[in-house]
Amino acid sequence: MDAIATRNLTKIYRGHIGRGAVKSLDNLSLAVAPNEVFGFLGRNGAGKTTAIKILCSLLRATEGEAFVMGQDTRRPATRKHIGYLPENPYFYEYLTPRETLDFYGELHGLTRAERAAEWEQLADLLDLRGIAGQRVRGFSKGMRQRLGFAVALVGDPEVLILDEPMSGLDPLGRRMIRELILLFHERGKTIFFSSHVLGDVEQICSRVGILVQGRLTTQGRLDELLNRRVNRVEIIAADLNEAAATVLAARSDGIRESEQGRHFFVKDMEAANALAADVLQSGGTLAEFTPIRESLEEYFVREQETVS
Amino acid sequence: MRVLAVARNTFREAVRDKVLYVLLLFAAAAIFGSKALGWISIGQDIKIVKDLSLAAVSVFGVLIAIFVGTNLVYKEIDKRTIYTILCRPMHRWEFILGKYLGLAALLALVTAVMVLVAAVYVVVLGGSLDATFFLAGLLIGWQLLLITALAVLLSALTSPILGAIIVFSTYVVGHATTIFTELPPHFDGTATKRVLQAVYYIIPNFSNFDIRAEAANGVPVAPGYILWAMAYGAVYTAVLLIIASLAFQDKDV
Amino acid sequence: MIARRLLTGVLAVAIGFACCVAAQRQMDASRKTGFDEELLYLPNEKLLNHFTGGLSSVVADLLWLQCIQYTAEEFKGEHKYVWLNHMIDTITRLDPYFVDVYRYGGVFLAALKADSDASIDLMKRGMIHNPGAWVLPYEMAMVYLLNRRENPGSPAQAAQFLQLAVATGTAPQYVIDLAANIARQHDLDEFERAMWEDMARNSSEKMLRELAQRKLHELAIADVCRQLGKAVQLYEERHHRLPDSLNDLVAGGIIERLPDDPLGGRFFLAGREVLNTTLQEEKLERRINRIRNGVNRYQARTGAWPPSLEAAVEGGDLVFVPPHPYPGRAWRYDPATGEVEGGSAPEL
Repeated sequence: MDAIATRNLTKIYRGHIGRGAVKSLDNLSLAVAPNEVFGFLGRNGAGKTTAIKILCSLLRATEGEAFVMGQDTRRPATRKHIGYLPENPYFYEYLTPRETLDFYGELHGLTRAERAAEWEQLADLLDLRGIAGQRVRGFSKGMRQRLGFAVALVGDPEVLILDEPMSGLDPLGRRMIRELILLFHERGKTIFFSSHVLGDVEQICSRVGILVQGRLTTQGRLDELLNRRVNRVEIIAADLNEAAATVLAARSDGIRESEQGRHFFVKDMEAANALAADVLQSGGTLAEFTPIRESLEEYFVREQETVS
Repeated sequence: MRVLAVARNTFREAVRDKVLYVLLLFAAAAIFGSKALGWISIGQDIKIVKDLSLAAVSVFGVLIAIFVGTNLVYKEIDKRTIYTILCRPMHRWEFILGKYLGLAALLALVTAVMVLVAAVYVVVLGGSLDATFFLAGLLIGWQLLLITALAVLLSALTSPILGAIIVFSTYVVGHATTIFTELPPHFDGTATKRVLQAVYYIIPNFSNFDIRAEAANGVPVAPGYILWAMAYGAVYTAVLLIIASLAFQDKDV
Repeated sequence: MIARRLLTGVLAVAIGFACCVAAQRQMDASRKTGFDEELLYLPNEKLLNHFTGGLSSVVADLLWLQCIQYTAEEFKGEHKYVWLNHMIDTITRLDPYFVDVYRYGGVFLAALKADSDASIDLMKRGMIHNPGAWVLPYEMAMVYLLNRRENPGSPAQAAQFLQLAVATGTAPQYVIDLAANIARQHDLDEFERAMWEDMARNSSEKMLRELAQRKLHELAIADVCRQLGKAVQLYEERHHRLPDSLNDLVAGGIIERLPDDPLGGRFFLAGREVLNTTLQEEKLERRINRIRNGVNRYQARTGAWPPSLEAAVEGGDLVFVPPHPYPGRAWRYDPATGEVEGGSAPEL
């Protein structure tokens, strides 16, 4: 059973006077297996938030179906399995984190004892004890995000759905989120998050899906997707004499110099291996030998261009 | 219970709305200032104070219901606090009901306080109070519950300004509906008369809840009438809440 | 500097405000709407009830306050009370339980405007809506006793209404006593004087005290008239003829000097009687109102003005044609327009 599954999910916003209908999602069919970290990518306005809102039953799909843990998302009971963190979460400004989590616990149907226990757990996990008594009004983005995470975790749902969880955070904040995601992945949860910051996605996702103008153009394991091409290889050689360097430069696609030595860029592994052998033969040393696979960014840009 | 959690939260939030206190201040001013009008009467002070106080409770109660109520759900949607709530395992109607109960509790409290202040003021001025005065206050509160339901319904559907206009217009028209039943005789038997009769029953008839003339003049009111008025109010309120829940069920947030 | 900027700002605001005040005064001066014109805009009272948004009793209160002001102004000024009936009708339709309006309105109409018909109608309406209020039948009885003294059936009517008042169960002791003694109450003047004295002394409202004072003056003037009448008799006995004018009484040594009328009228001789213009004017007003009401009723009933005042009596719209208060004068009635004139006070 998939943790998350959609089948031909379509969302059309009706047109108003002076504006035509907008097709926000077009036959979206994706599947996320349990205990996966799935990165949902797309440009701004591609429809990521729309898909997520349908999963959380905040929007109604025009056509198609969506399931979480095998149950239809339209039923209220399904939402027991979902922990949702919206982009820029808002809370009641005048409550403290403790009161906030208490409120959401009550909405989940937890008893007072259970809510107290939840608080203990989540406060430690997300480092909320220091700010437990302050009102949300004065919180920074990082603090809000931590609280948002805690709220999403109330009730211990199996699936976490996060909408742009790292947007607006400083590097420390982003690392915190990354580590949290990995932590919950280890604890067996499924994590589905959307982002347009590809570097973050590359670091933690096992599978990705790319949404372009409402359509899912790609879906699969990261290493499979990117394995298809090895763009080039970068060889850094030191202690080379001038003559050898010139010869090798002629055989490369690109060269560069730095304190480490000379950088040679060649097309593929074969050429790279040959060049490396020549470096050693010429008496130089190999400082680095790096096959550069296509980065996710390059893949992403390529996808966009293909569609448009 | 989930409904009560939302209700409690709504109450806490509404209590923080500054508009509430400004309106209460004006209501107090109206109540205490009514004595000034009494000075230019020839002995009708107490009646005038009672009249103006009850009118102030009614008018300001409606204003509070409008200003705080029509904003309620809209603010949640606008500020997106609603996202994390609706994605919980709860029905949407529980949310609407909770919002309503929170606001209704606030209005009941506000009405009770205002009526009490007015009652104390009347006694301080040397007047006497009877059951009718408090029953008038009760019916005013009951009427406000109905209006609040309408405000919540509209706040789930439209913007606050449009909602406020609609609720206020309904309040005014709702007091004048008896005009549909007192048509001149040349309307008898026409289709227009039947249509207007239907309109009379559809628009909430707020003059049912108005026993302020009796209260200020010390005229007793039959308990049976009070019960019928409360029944009317309760059922109409329930109908409005059901419509609100249905409307909110599939609304895209 | 901040201080200078603040000063400039305050100065600018003060000047601006002064300009606004000046403009306001200009507008107020050029737009002085008289009180009467306002009332012209009072809509049909039935509609008013529907469209006051549930504030009908508050509107009734405000209109009643205006009515009091209006009455007070008329009392000090013209004594016409043109709009009184309309205002009271409107108020009582908006708030039918407002007993004081029926009561005081009735008193104003009967005692000030001398329109006892309207007063009685009003209080009857009040009694229908407020059957438990003792003041209304009580005031009705007073109207019959005091303002309709000339009618033969009045004491009987008054007695009936007093019984009604007692029957409400809430009437105070003096009303019960009065009802019991009414059959024996011959000296209505004494009774009336006592009533007005009570109001002049004990009422907490200035306006009512002033009204009572005026009524007491009127009673005093009537007394003076009677005294002067005795003086005329004395003169006739002494001089074997009637005096030509009141000055003869002074010259003849019967009285020291002619008394003054505190209300600005004149005493004059009419045959054997001494009359006073203030009192006679009041009688004139009252009686002419009765006649006018009768004529209007005839017109409403048949659609045409009665050919004569007697025709109105025959038609049942007027009980009888009251005599003209000034001796030797008659009512002038124009059947074409329905207008009744009484003429002015004699030159004597």
